[in-house]
Formats: sequence, C-alpha cells, structure tokens
Amino acid sequence: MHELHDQIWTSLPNLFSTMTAVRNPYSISPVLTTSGPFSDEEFAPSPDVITALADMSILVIGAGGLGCEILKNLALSGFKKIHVIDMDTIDISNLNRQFLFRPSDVGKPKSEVAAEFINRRVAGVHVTPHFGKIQDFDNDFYMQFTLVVCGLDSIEARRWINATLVGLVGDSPETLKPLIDGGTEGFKGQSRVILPTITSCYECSLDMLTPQTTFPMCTIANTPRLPEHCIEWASVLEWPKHFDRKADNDDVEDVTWIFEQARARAEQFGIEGVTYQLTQGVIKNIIPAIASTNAIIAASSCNEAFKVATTCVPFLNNYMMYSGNNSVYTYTFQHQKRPDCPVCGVQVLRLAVPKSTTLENLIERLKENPATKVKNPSLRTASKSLYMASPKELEEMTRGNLVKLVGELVGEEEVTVTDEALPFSLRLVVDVE
Amino acid sequence: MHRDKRQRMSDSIPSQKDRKYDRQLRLWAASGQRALEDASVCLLGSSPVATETMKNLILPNVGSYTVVDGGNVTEDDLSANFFFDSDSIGKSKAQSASLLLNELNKDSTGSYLDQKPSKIVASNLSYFDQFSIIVASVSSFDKYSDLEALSEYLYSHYIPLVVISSAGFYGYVRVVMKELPIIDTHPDSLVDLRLDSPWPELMEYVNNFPEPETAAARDHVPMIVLLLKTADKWIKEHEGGLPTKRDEKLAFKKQVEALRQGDSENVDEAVAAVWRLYQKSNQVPSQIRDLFNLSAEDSTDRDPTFWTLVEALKDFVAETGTFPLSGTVPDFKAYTKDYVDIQRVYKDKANKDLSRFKEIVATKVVEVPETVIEEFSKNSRFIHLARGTSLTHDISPESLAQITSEDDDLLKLYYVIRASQMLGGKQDAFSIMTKTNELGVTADVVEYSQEVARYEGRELHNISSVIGGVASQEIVKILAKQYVPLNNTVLFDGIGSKMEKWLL
Repeated sequence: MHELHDQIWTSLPNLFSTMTAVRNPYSISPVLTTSGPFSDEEFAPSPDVITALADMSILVIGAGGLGCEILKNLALSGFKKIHVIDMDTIDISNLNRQFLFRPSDVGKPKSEVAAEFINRRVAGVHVTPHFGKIQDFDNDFYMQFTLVVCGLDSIEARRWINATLVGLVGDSPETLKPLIDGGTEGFKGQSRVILPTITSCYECSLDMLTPQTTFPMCTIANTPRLPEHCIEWASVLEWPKHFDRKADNDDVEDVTWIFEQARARAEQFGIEGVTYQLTQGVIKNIIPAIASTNAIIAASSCNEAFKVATTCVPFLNNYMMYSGNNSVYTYTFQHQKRPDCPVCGVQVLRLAVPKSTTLENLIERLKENPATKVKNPSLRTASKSLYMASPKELEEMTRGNLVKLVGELVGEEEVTVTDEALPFSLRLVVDVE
Repeated sequence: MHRDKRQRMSDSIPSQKDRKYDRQLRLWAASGQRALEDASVCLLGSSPVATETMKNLILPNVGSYTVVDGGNVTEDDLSANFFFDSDSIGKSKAQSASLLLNELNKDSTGSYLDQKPSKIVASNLSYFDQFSIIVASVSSFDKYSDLEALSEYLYSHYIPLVVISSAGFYGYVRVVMKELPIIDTHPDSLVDLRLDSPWPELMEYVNNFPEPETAAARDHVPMIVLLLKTADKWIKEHEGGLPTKRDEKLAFKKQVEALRQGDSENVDEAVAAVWRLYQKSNQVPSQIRDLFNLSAEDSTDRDPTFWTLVEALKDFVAETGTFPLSGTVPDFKAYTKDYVDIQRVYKDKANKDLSRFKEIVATKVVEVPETVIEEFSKNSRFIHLARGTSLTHDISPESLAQITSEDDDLLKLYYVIRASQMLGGKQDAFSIMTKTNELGVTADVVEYSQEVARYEGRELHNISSVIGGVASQEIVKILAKQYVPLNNTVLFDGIGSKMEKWLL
C-alpha cells in the first residue's frame, strides 16, 4: 500500500507536465524555418523540421557532469524522445557540477534522477532512463536511435560504443549512427563528431591520449622520492599483505588506512606532501572536473547534434579542442582517419619485429603500443592458442610458449589478439625481419 | 601557529563540504575557493545566456548573487531557458529565475531585483559598488549605450564587468577590467634549477657527492649532479664559461651522453635537461619588466598589496640580480636520501630568498599577509597583470585595425553583432550592414549581416550554454585571482564550430 502511494507520487510530476503547456519552438524556429547564407544548399527550411526533430530518438550515454548538461541542452533544443544510460549512483562529490542532483539524491541511480528532473522541468520532453552498463544492451537497442551523444569519463566505454556503432553500419543509411563525443579534464576539453566508417573514429585517435603516469615498481618498493610513490607503495604493495579483499577507494576507512601507511613511510624517508586528498586522488585516479568546462563541451556537442539532426547548417568536421588555463584557447581541425585503424580501417595491424623476438617480447610491444593499449592480451592463430591470459588452466598450458621465438611459433599466419581493454578482436600479422 | 592549523586540516579526513567541492579544490585549492565564497555577483538579465552563466557560478559556490531584470516571463521566454518553468509565466523574470537558480546550491545565497538594468544605470550607478563583479547580458538593456555607460563607470571604479551575448549560432564574451593582478597563474611548471648560476651551497653539495662505487649507485647519481659536474669540468677547460655557440653546445651534450654506461636513466634525464644550463636566471622577462615600470605610476584605487609586492620584487632583483627561488624540483632518478637532500638544498635557498624578500616587503608602507608574500615569492617569475579596456575602445582605430582580409574573419562578425545590438529593435540585413560600416568596418559584411538579421535576436540554448560556460570559467578565474583570464573578447561561431579572441 505504502509502495503504491510512493509510485503515484513519483509519477505525479509527469502527469502534471503533460497537462501543462509544452515549451514552444520560439528559440529554434528562425534557424529551422528560414535559411541563410551559410545554410546547406539542400536544406529545406520548414516547420516540418521541428516536427522531425521531436520524433527522432536520441541516445545519451552518461548522466554525469557532461550527461546532465547534455540532457538539458537536448531537451531545450527541440529533441523530445531521449534515452539515457548510466551505471553509476550519485556521490556527494558530483554535486559541484551535476546540477540535476541534490544532496538528498546521494546514492540513487544517476540516470533515473536525471531523467525525472528533466521530465518535470521541460514539459513535453520524455527522457527514458536505463540504469546499467552500455555493454548490457544489444545491437537492436542501439539500432533504434538516430544519433548518439556521449559524455563519458572512461576510455574503455568509449572504445566499446565506438566499435559497436562502427559494427552497426550496413547497407541502408539508417544503420549509420553519428556519434558525438565530449570529454573534459579541469579547464580543458574536446568535442568531436564521428560518422562511423566515414570519418576518423575514436579508435583512430587513441594515440592522442596522454599516457597515464605510472611509477616503476622498483622506485615504489626501494627508492621513493615523491608522496605519490609512498601512496602507491601503501595501496599496491602493503594493502594485499594485510587484507584478503581489494581496497574500496570510496570507503573512508580503507582510504584512511592507505593514507596512514603512506604517511608513515613518507615520514620515515623524509618525504613531504602525503595528504588524505592526494591519497584519494592517486588511488582513484581522480580527474578535476568543474561546471563551466562541462557546460562548454556538452553544449558544443549538443550544438553539433542539433546540426547533424536537422542539417540546417554544416556540422563540425570533426574535432574541437578547448583550453581555459591560459586565457581561452581553442583549435578546430579535421582529425584524419587511420587507414590501419583496427576498428574502422583495413582491420589488420602489421608489426615488424627482429628475428630474436620472443612471444613475451611481442606481448610487451603490444602493451606499449599507444595504438592498441592492451593490458593482458591473449593471442591465438587459426590453428593454435599461442598464449591465453585466462583462465588459469589455459594460462598454465600456454605459458611455455612465451620464451619461444615468434618467427618459429607463428610464421605467416594471422594472429588474433583479444584483451579486456579491446572491444573487438585485433587482427595482427607479424613480419619477422 | 596559523600555519600549523591549516596543515592539520589538509592532512585529515575531508569535511562534508570539502568532499562536495573536491573536484574543483584540486584545481584552485582552498584559497581560490575562499575567494569565490567571499564574492558577490550581480547578474543583469535572465535570458538563457544569463541563467546558464549564473548556474556555473552557483554550483562551485559563489558566495552570493543578485539577479536583476525587469518585466514578466512570457511563453516565448520558456523556450530555451532551463530556469523558467510553466509556473513562471506572468511573474517577474528576476524573481522566477532566482527561485529556480536558488535550488542549485543551498550554500550560495541568492536574491533578486525586479528592475530594468537600464533604469539602474540611469538613476543609481553606485548600486553596483557593492558587488565583486557584474555580469551583463546585452539583451537585458534597453539601449546598447546604457551598457556602455555602465562599462565606463565600472572601468573607472576597478570593478570587473563581463558582457555576455548570444543570438542564433553566434555568441560572445567581452571582459571589461581596468587592471587585474594575478599572483598564482598556474604555469606549466615552477621548476627553477639555477644550473646557470648555482649558489655556493648547491656547488658544495655537488662537489661532495661521492664517486659511485657500484653500477647501481652510478645509475642513481642525480641528473643535477651529473650536469653541474660536467659543467664545472667544462668551465675549467674552457676558461670560465658555459658553452654558448652551437658546436660548443653539441660538444657539451656529447660529454653528458658519454656518461652513459648501459641503460642509465639518470643520464637520459641529464641529456634531456641540458637546456636548463642555458637558461638565464638573471634575465627579467619582458612582462615583468613592464610591471616594474608600471609600478611607479600613481597607485590610488589599485590593489595595494600587489603593487607593494611588485615594488619589493623590483628591489630584490636589483639587489640579487635574480628572482626569489621557487624551491620546486622535478622528480628524477636518485636514491631516496640523495633526492631528499637535494630537495632540501633547494628549499633552504628558497627559504633564504623568501626571508630576504620579506625583509624588503617590511620596509614598504602597506602591510602584506605572510601567506601572500610566500605565494608571491614562489610565483614571482610568473606573476601576471591583465590590463583591459572599456567597451568604447571596441571602435578605436587600433581595435578596428585587427580586422584581416580573410573572408571568415570572426572579428568582422563581432562588429556586425555589435552593430545590430546598437541598432536595437526590429532590423534587416541592410540596416545592420550600414551600421557596421558606420562603426568603421570597411570589409564585406553582407553575409554576416544577413545571417544575424534572420536570428531576430533569439537565443539558441546550446550557444547560450557554450557562452555561459566560457563566461563563468573566466569569472571564476577573475574572482579566484588564479590562472590567466581572457583579455578581452572571444566569439563563438556555432556554424564553423570555432572561436577567436582579440584584445579590443
């Protein structure tokens, strides 16, 4: 009974919003019902464009810092059928920018709270929330949308959706789903338009990412110099010695334990600067995030979504960078498609290696290669398993191959590389010199 | 005592409030946050570009704000504005916007004034004296000249004004500030190794560094030691000077490279840092020299703390030939003890410089807090002074001269938009074009005039939100007095998806 009562209450704002006046297209009508000197020649201005926009299904991935902005922007730009996917729940540290959430929402699913807020505030718009991982949805789900706008902070998730949308492209034009991707870090950010298989894709630009700072294990274990070295020592080396479980980086007790160990080590070595804040930053790899940058990047992404959806004026081809550290700096350019892109290009990667290369050397090279970014890959040919990272039994059976020479092991055969970080299997041909 | 307390706070588990603002504190730290929370913002206008800007200031917790606008909300006003809803229709714009903005963050205090900005400008300019910064949406003024009058007033009173505008696919931000000094500009790096002029204690450390006896020890000799030893040897062999010519530099680099035995990471680091030997520690960067010259100017109304510190820095440089040392060293391969020892040598020198700098500051009339002196001393090589202009300067010959012959020069577009705003009311492409020419723009502006005319001054939400983001980012920098702010105009072209900036 009580539950039913709650349900009625939560659905009430929606009932009201359908009764109140739908927001009118006053803001968008000049650019959709007239044309100007910069309009696309084929564009036919008409009120029908406004109707078409309202009928179009659009998918938003992420309901965080960018996602909240994106949902608002689309809802106020004439889109009415919006879906949003997010797997996270709301944390207190989200509130300095994720403006659809309030302190009382902490712990609730982001997608649901965000959708409810937009539906209540912007009458006539319907946002459908999905609380889950993007990988949980199949091709049929993604096929229903005309456009995808991404506001993610994870490289893995971006690679997955990018590869999925490239994979969807078939003979009919509706199978091509433009992907608009935004990302921010502190005062900097970028937005870009990807037409799967036509323009440069996310995978094509993987080598543009700045590599994450990693500290050599011997420094951490033996010669720490920075507070970060002490923190890594505490979290990577000391924690497993004292606990049978992984540390919960959001748990105050766990973080405090690591912080105190790190501080003790730092004091022992005369190193300054270990704080709780830094400890949390290092172990969670926290990236600074502010409202203003999210607003800029999300709005420029949605401006592109609006242009792609309506074709009223040309859209971004294909990359815009923004930086606000030192005055305002922006750079708009065309990122080039990589012919050997493992996702959208000719899908075979060729690697030239010296004769002395062992399978282990080859795996190291794949890990270091900025264009592949694998973590713990498994390799096989059509005829045999070369090295299987998991499960344990297979790993033990194939471990012996690691010391063998690639030239003798593989020959001319094509190698298939799979890895947890790869949303696809990488095809590799090794040229032994 | 005071310092100890701060230390303890940052060492302990963060408070609920610090957790809420954690992701921004990692950028502008407690000092920037305090400045933001001490600030009060006056927002003129309540259209989408105004409310979007305000949203991004309330979220990071600006202390207080007042929304000023006249008139009531119509259905059309709802079209692109997230901070009006159907309940707002028929009610005061300023009140309705502040009601929904207030919900964003209970820590920030909002209020409103139901009055037209033009009216306040006409009757009571001193109203604006109470605010730290004024954010003005052009469309909220009856006449562009009212905004110009406000600009003149605020400019002469050293109150920053940020003008925001959005119509169709175009938007701009124009910052008006007479003078904004910034100590913490967040340069890429504060590292200053002084390899070109090592002080006695550093050379003593280097000369006493023991010859490595094992391969491991050899691989852990700090790159600073490697470089200064090689330099010392070179100077002795070459009659007192570091390499200056290209071939000498190449030869020197070879000497450093020759230290490599196997896979020596420390030698790699030394090779990569050779350029630091050729830095001129006694050279005063031109922008600092400009500041030294300016500091003699009459300083009423100017930030007395900053100018006192500049005077003191000038004295310090005259006395020592260089800047106070920052004390920051990069990470490099070394045994822990050696690294900590070298770090100590640099910190001791930085503290010594700081003490001398403090003594000089103490001789000046204005009293400056210790923490500010410390920050200034550390950042002294990178301090920045933004000197801007008032809106009337837009149409000065030197501003107009920046227009290029490029077809897609966005500065032409800025003048077209400005002309259309000066015209006000209903307008066509021809009248905009004529007005643009009257401003002194001789280039072809037909297409831009046609495009601006068809927008009828209506805001697209996305463009307003981009401008709101850019403006709020600049406002945070100005209020926190950190990073380098825009000086003074940036325009976003949402068709070409690009921005350009100018000092007008």
